[in-house]
Amino acid sequence: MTKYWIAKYIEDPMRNEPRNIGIFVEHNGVRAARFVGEREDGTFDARKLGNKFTFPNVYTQWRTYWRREMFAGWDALASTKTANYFVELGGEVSDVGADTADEVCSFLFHLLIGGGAIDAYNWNIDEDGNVALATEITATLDHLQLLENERALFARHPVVKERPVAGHHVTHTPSFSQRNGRLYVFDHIDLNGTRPTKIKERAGLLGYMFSDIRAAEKDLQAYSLVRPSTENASDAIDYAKKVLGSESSVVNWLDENARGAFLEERRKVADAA
Amino acid sequence: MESENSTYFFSLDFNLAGQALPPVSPLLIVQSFTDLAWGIIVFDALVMNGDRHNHNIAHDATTNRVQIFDHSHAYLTPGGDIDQTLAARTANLALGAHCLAQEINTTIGLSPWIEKVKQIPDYFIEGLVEAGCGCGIPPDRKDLLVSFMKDRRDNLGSLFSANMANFPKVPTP
Repeated sequence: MTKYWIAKYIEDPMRNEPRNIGIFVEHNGVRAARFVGEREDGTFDARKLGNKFTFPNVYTQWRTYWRREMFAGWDALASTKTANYFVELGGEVSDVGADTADEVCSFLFHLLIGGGAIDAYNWNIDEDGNVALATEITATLDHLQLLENERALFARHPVVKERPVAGHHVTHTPSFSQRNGRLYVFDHIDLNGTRPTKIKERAGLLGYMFSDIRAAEKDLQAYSLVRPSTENASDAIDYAKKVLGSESSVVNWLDENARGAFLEERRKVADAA
Repeated sequence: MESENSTYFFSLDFNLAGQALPPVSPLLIVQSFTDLAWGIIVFDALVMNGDRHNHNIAHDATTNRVQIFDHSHAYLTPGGDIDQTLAARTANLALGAHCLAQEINTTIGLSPWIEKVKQIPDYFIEGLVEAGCGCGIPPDRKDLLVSFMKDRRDNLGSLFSANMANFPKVPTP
């Protein structure tokens, strides 16, 4: 079993806005950790802290403490809570394959603290299809004056791009969201990608994102905007459809009727009181 | 606290580093600040603080300063019987499971602190108890408490000698 814990920081206890600043992993009895300010090799570079902390010297002492105590036991770490710094159980990770504790830790660090899914999955290498789909969706919403921008004066509840949304465990940044009392979140996936693994990983991430946001907002309405594969079905696409179908309504962006119905709903939500 | 029939709440900010520092390692405090560790132990024995743990000692590695805070369990038990409390603590150090007492491994540094405590003037103790009577201590117990504290001040060395079992890592002579 692979479990992970998240070190969190609250800049202002009155505002109570926790930020993830470190990851602890226990995988097959081996423990690993990664914190803000550390390079890939674990060495600490205070310059990487930037202005993330009002009192960086206090943070560096917490990092030292956590690194010293992480081998003594998780209970002690988790029970040491202050108004600004604490550790919480994040959850369990399954399907880690042959990855080591360090590799799992690095993955989670990128996913939950660093650059997000793009960094964690290296999607920036093979992302053309998804970027193109996102661009197309954005252009469509913009054309229909549903997208929030500086000249959007007509929609009362416009669609917004990449606005952080708090989940139960972490804060996500879905590609699109819309709120009119109820929260609507939608994201895209191009099933024509050349790497089946990437398709499965993105579908898994979106599924987790929808699930985690729903855990925080029970009446979430989630949509997966899908550009279906032009080739025959594959295991990866079946997997993606099942994962996305279980956590969201799947909309075939190439299906004129399905796309029209989705956009019509966006209009109604945007214009409703 | 109460004043003129009104209740006032206040909080003390111990975060001299800006925010709360992580818990200390008592072993590291004893190793790096042996003399100060004895100072803390002697002080806690004097005020009968049985609640010293790694969360109410702060070490700022930036300034290399050590601070202690949180003495809410010291001296008299809130709401408790004064006579019983004093009787129970007369012959012992009343340190509880003091985290530094568990780690200190030498007596070097102990005697000078006991000597310093002996220098505490009578008027200082009398003033403190007087102030305590202004916020909860029954005034009719003032003389008893002053006498108790003066006696504890004067006999703290003997008290330590009789209770060195509280310091399991200190070699026996």
